[in-house]
Amino acid sequence: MTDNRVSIDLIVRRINPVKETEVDSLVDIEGEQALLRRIMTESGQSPRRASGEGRRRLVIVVAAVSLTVAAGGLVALSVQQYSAVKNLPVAGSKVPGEGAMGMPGGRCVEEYSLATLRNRFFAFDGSVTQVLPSGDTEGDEPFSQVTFRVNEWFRGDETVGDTAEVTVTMPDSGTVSSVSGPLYLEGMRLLVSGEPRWEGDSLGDSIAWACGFTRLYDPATAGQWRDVFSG
Amino acid sequence: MASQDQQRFESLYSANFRLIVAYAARRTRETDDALDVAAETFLTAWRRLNEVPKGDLSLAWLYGTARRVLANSRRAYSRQERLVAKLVASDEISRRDAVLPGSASTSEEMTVIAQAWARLHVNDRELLSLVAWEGLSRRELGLVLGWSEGKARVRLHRARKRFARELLQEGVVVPPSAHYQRRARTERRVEDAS
Repeated sequence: MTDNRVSIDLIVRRINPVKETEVDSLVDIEGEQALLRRIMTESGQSPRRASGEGRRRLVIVVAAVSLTVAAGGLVALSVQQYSAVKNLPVAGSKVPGEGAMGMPGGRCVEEYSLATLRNRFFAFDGSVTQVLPSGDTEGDEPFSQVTFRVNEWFRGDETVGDTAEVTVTMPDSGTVSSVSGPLYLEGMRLLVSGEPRWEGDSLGDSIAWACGFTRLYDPATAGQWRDVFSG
Repeated sequence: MASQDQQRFESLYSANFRLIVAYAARRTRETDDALDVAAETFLTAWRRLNEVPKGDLSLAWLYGTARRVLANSRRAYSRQERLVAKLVASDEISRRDAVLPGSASTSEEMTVIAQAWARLHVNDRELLSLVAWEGLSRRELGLVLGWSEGKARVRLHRARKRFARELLQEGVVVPPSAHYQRRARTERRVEDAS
């Protein structure tokens, strides 16, 4: 029998979403040290103390970060705790929809519903034709530029003319699936909605919203989107 | 004693923190969620420092703890609703079939691999990724998953076979190892030259 163990492992390694060379870029040293101090001080004086108090306190810190960002701009009272990771939530961001991207550090500022979908600047049914790796790291937020062949415009085509292709900034996902995480594959058909990236009024530099506002195509949902934007 | 504990924990943390963040990031695809997992993992390690094995196996212990933290996050709908929703949604995405073009460019090959990967049972994916992404030995694998080394070896063998079968269904014949070793060496040379 042919031994293909190494081959299998090498194939799996190729779809590793965080390569070994990228590990250091996930974390900055100051935040890493701050978290270490936090664990060793506020979580309890002794490693063998059995009380759950410290654990609860750290969980509360995590919750505080989430609540802070969800509230949309309150003081990020615990964000420094999490500065170990570069892709931090940016409380009070002026970028429309940034918090709704579901990107690292981002939070949903608006829950998906057909009512809130109606507020989006653009929406279309499109098939992925190209995924460029994250070249835009503005604000330390990784993005991908994804080009779609538009199958149907629901809203927004008036700003770009009668075009069959549009490129949209998406939360970075790489090009292949892994254990989890969003993915954009060439040929994949998606329903995409979002906003101009810098409060503009055209799709020249637009950003797709996650949190349900961008999703895999299915005919039923496409019909709902059509109704929403034609109403 | 406290000072010794502190020194040991600091060494454990500085040697392994980024590896645990990376482990979690590979499975959540979100760095802030990954940090939550890593923070809780090291908090557990600090609390249970006397249970953390010394030496090389300490990292495997941390991976095992991170794995449980991640699993708890998936289960804790009320407390981690956002993370759970994300994981569920991503799993749904990964199981959908993508429309594949016919040629065999690198990205298309990756798409095919991704489809086969997505069809694997989550336990098989975890086994294979712990070896290929985190580089665990069978002994470490056993510690992470709570198995004997022998059981880990058998389960890993079966997972590899199932993945090879899924790849075959996508038209990918897994070559003998030597072929891929040559290819990996070539790719490394190209990367080094560029």
